[in-house]
Amino acid sequence: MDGQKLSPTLYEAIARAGLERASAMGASYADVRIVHEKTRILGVRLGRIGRIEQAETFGIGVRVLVGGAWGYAARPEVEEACASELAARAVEAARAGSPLRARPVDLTEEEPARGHWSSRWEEDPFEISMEEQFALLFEADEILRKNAAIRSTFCTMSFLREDQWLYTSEGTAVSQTALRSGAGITATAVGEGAVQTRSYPASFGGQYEQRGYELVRGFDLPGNAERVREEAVALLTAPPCPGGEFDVILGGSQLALQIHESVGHPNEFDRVLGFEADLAGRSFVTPEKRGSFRYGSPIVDLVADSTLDRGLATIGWDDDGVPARRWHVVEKGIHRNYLTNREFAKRLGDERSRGANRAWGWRYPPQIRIPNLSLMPGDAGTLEDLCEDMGEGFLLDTVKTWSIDQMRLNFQFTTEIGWKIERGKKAHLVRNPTYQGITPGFWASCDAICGPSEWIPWGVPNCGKGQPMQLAEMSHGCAPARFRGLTLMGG
Amino acid sequence: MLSKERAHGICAQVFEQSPTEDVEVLLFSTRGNSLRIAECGPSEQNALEEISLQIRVVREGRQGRARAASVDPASTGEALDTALKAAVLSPPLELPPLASKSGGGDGGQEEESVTALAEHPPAEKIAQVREYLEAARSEGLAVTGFYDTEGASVTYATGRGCFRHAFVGKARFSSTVIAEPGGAGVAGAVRQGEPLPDDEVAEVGRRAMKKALDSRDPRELEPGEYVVLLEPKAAGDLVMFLAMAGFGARGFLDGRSFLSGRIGTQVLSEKLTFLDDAGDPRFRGLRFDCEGQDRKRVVLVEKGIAKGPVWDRPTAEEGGTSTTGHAGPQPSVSGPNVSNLILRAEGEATKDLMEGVERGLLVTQFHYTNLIDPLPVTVTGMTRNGTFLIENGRITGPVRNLRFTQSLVETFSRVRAVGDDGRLVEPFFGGSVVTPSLLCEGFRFTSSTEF
Repeated sequence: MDGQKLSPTLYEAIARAGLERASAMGASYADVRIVHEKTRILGVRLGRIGRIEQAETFGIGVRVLVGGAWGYAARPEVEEACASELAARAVEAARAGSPLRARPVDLTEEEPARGHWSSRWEEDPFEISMEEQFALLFEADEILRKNAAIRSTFCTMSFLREDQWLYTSEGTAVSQTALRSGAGITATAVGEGAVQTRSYPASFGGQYEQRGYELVRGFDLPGNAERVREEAVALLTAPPCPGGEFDVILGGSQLALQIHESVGHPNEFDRVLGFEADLAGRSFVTPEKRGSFRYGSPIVDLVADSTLDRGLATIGWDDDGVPARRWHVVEKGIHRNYLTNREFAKRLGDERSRGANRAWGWRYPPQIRIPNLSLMPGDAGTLEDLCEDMGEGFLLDTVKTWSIDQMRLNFQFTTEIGWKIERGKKAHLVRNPTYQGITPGFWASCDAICGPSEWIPWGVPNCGKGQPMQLAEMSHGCAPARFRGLTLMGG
Repeated sequence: MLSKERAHGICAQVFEQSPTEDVEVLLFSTRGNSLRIAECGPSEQNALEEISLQIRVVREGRQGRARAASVDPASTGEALDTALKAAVLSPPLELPPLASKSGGGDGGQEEESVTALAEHPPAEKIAQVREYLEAARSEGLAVTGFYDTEGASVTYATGRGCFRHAFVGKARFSSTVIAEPGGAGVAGAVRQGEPLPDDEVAEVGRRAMKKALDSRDPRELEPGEYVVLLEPKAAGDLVMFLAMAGFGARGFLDGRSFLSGRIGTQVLSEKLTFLDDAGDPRFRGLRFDCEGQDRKRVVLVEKGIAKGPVWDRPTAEEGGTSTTGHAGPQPSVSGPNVSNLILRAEGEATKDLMEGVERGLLVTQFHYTNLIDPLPVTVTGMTRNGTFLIENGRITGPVRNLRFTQSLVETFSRVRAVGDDGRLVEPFFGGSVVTPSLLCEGFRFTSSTEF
């Protein structure tokens, strides 16, 4: 492995030191994760370098189960003595908490796993010179600045390579390597008493996939800069989006966030049981709904898939050592399954975990995270076909802001851009388009989904969850889709 | 946590490796542990130690930055090499030279008390919450929460002779209680530089339980405009969004801030004064920034009149002024921002705020607030964990949660009264601010939900 900092036998020896100490101190289960992360983030703003950073972290975390309670300790020091000391610290904490637990943690059975998994890429972005990468960003930035109304720009690319080694007291010993790339451009126009922003290929840093530098080359950032710039400026004087109930097509990058917030989070089974209530909230998808609750219209199929090609959450095994899986969360509009790890699969009564336990690097213990979760493509053809079919309505795209209540029911999203659709074509821009709804009603109103040619695995690189807050990455594949009678708030 | 001597040694190691004195080191070292609570018991107990060393090289107007995997000589040498190579690629700019003087006092808190936070035993946390959790369980309530303590050392140094070092630590406990049918309550406490005493932890539990029990059986309420009494936790969310959208020099210079072009004019209610003050005893924060500059006390808005944003050196140069010492790691796209924000309470007794309210809402907390439009600072979010109807000066019962969509420039211009209960709170998306309760008019709730 290129990311190898130590020899394989040394990793195993370090892990064994932690596992043996945990076992000797009374742990019924223990695991050791060693993680090496390498990142590069470059950014250009208004002709100047806004970000230039290359970073590495290398650390170890030991997780133990003692008396039915979890303990975890981590440090950026990958040595046998450190692993042993961390195990002792984790055991001490777990033992202190154990008597207060209402019920002991119990895990589903899992066969020990062994092996190595790696994501695929063509061009290693860390092997491309920063000079070449900056040249691309400066070229796009220069085009974005060719209008006096543009007061801020940001052109960025970022890369993350994570190498991880997982050893458990049950005999699992696996390693995996994941490489992801991302890039995007943004222009902000100021004038007419307004501020408007446009982005490409998506907002908040652009589009991210589990690929190499070939992803960035494929975006043609300079080739899209003029359009982005002119749309930002045009939005300053565009009419405000009207309020009322309208038929609306949501573009893919916007719909991806809708999937994330209204299907992904409410189906994390730890959240369903109230474990996230102090921060992120709970869920309306209570356990009795499984197998019968109508989540959406019959054309809505939402599939979790940790094996998805190019997905940011594509893995060989999760941090419980459970192999990657694919399953329906919603099938033909009916709720089928939750997102689980070994602890919460047991609470749900399932025989096996869905393999959704993932941690942010080495610092924190794994928790249930949204895997790649996608809306399956439909039969409505291209976006052009769908606009033609709709006739009158609106097309909204690109995330600007989002908010959803603590049970994941009432949501309100604003997109960067909207178009009034008249006689099946884009008639004119509208600014500040904001739509609002209640989750099951929203998905029930979905009556057309574009086909596979429009389907893209949109990446979310910054999903926050937990206390302390952990970040995770995942993709939401989708194609533009139509929603009947959606409530627009007025711009 | 690194002692001053140890931090000095690590910085010296980097400077010895560097072929130039134009090198800057930012060194953070943290240690702490946390207790998560669910189902009235511990659900996770975590301990974390971390060291982060960032190196920036500034040569002839070119700059490069890298972070080391560790502080051993091989790792710092590798990071330095990366930063030097990156600096060659950077186009030359007129960058301010690296700091060569160490400035005034470094601020922060006493090493001994911060160490106590870093080493706070997990068993002590359990002991402090035990009675609360057992009481809640016996009442049939569901308790979740988060209790963590952390100590950190922060060091800024340059090869030109600047060396600044301080300790900062924090203890915080928040708890959310669910009381069926339909009730939820939250309470919290946070202290900088000292642990939470037993009675304060217990008080958090009592307040959260009472709020949850009081909010059972909420009734539906029509969205619309209401007078709102915002408790500090709710007000803190709005204050933080106002600050993020308006109090930094980058947005101010770009014309994206509500302060842009309005310095010296009345922009908010005359009842409000916003300032940033690391020396306030509720913060006792760092007195230097990520450029090694003194962090000054800055009045942002005084009695509603715009005074100015916070600056770092690059934006100050662009704006023809001097830095206020609010730089983040350089280079920075977002620019400087507030770090110890205070909404000064010069108001009346909080217990009297409700008296003149004919019909309004008391809001305990907001959830998932987010920015829609930066100039009017229009935001949306939900109420959460205890929303109550006020009629004729008193609370008449809990109501279901509502979504608001509201310009904060409007809201902070329509303040009817400010309470006297200013305290440190942590908004939903992080950070901490000092704010009192606020009574505001014409707050727009735009939709409702099912609980």
